[in-house]
Amino acid sequence: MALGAIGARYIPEWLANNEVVLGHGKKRYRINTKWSQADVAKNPVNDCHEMVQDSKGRILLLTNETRNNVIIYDKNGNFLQSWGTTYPGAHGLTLFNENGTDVLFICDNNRHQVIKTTIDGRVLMELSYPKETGQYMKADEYVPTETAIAPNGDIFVADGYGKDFVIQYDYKGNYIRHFGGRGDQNKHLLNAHGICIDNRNGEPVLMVTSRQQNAFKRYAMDGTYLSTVELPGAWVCRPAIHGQYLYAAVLQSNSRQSQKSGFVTILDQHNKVISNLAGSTPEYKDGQLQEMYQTIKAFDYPHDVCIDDEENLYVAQWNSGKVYPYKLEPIA
Amino acid sequence: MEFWKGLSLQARANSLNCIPFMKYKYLFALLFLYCNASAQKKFQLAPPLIKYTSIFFDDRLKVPIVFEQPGAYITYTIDGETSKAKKYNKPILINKELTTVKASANSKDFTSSEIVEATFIKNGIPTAVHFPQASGRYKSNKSNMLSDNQGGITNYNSPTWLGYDKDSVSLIIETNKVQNLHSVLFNVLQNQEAWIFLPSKAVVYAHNKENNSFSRVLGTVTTPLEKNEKVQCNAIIVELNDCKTDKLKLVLFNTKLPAWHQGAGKLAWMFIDEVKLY
Repeated sequence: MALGAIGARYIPEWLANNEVVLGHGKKRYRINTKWSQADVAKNPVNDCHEMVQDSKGRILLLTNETRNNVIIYDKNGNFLQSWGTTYPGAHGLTLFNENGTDVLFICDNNRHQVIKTTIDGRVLMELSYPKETGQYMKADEYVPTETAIAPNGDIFVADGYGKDFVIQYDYKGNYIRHFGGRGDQNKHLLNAHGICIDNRNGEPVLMVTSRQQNAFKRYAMDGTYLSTVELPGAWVCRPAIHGQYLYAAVLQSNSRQSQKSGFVTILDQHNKVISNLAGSTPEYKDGQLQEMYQTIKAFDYPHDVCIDDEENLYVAQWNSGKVYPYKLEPIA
Repeated sequence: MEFWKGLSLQARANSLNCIPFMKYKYLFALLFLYCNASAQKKFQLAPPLIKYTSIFFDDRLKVPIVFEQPGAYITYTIDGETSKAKKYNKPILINKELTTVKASANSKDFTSSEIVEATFIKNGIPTAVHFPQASGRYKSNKSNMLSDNQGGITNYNSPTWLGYDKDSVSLIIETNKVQNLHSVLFNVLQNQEAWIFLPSKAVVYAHNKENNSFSRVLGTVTTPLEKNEKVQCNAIIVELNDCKTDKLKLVLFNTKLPAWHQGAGKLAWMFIDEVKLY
């Protein structure tokens, strides 16, 4: 027993971290909670909101810690560089390859703006509250949470903490249209926290989060409502599509709100849930997905999932004791 | 004979030589298992889900408990049974006036979950409960809100709740005839992180028809203010002394947020969703 206890103190990190397996079926992962090698004294984080991988293979993290709003890592968690001190409400991070060059779109909740920057932080464009919609009297009413960029450069902004509209601009930032918003019809949204363009089934469609309704809503690129993907019990954040799968952080389980009850969900090409990491085994009865919930307390409040070119996942968390992101490696 | 004896001795010698090595291997195997176990056990299971649409019911209720996690199982107890928790295998039949179900999730691979509980409450004497307008967005226009058998949902956004951030709340309870009453039950929410605390005190008064006032105290319950991170419903019962009437007043007294709370010194919220009379 004494020997065992001594031995346990010398467990190599890779062994201790790699033994916990999360998920179901073909989508199972080893979790590594010690991925980040950043020095907390030099590069602290507050809420870790979103992550993307750039064309150089680097992993970018967006945090609302204004000492370094963007932290750039390699895939092994080594700190490479950081930038950004002017994004107190840094929330949404989207990468777009603009004619061969990586650019970023940051949604700032506090500034009530969307900011387009170069990959190293030089500001290229700022979009303030969309007066043109006729829906907003002042900037405070507009609290953008996410963007999605179409291949032609059109910018779709989800006002997820404001009035839940999706606002479409051209690549120069000229207003085109808006849709969604609150209401009791299927086309309406409640907490439109995320948005992405889904190209998995031929025609591109917009996949928009309606978090408090525990659902994603699909719209044609012109904003026409198509259908709803119900995810009972799951407060889903932004959809992240990689290959034929859709990944999303689930901030919390509906059944245990404000209790650090988050997990990660994975949907297949037909938007059927096939795996929940730290969540309940997905179960369909008569075609209806049964209520989902956290089963393992591996995460507190997951806020985003980034999938890299080697199918690894990175999970950023909100309000979770200022933890750095976790990495999850697939099990072959 | 000599040959067999010799071999046996050799075998014995060999096996003796092996002992230290075997022990060593055994220790390594144990150590390996220990490392694995501690790696898994660093995560705790979340509690299972006790499924219901309301904790209030008329005659009987079947309550399923779910926890879909490979290798995990649910154990539960009913009404604080001190005997060992039972392994769950089918929905629990509930038909008593008051039943508390406690459940946890267990697995050899993870630390057992915390215990989650729900108390189920059978309908009492038909009543009408009149309530003052609630606060903020936790109001309702439904006049039978507190006697509709709907509630017990731990989510404070559920439309079954009335929320009050007032010093006290007075509820008038009426039955259709004068009768012997022995207790009042009310169901309240506790979610301290969300500023929702139990009432510090509840007092029930009898109606005095002569001067149309509520003066005589029939029963009082006080609740100690304790730190509790659990989000749960609490059915509080006030026993009534010598009570024969058709009209009562239940007064709930609010509490100030304690020093350790982020809103220290400010008034807490009280959330109530049902009142029963027995």
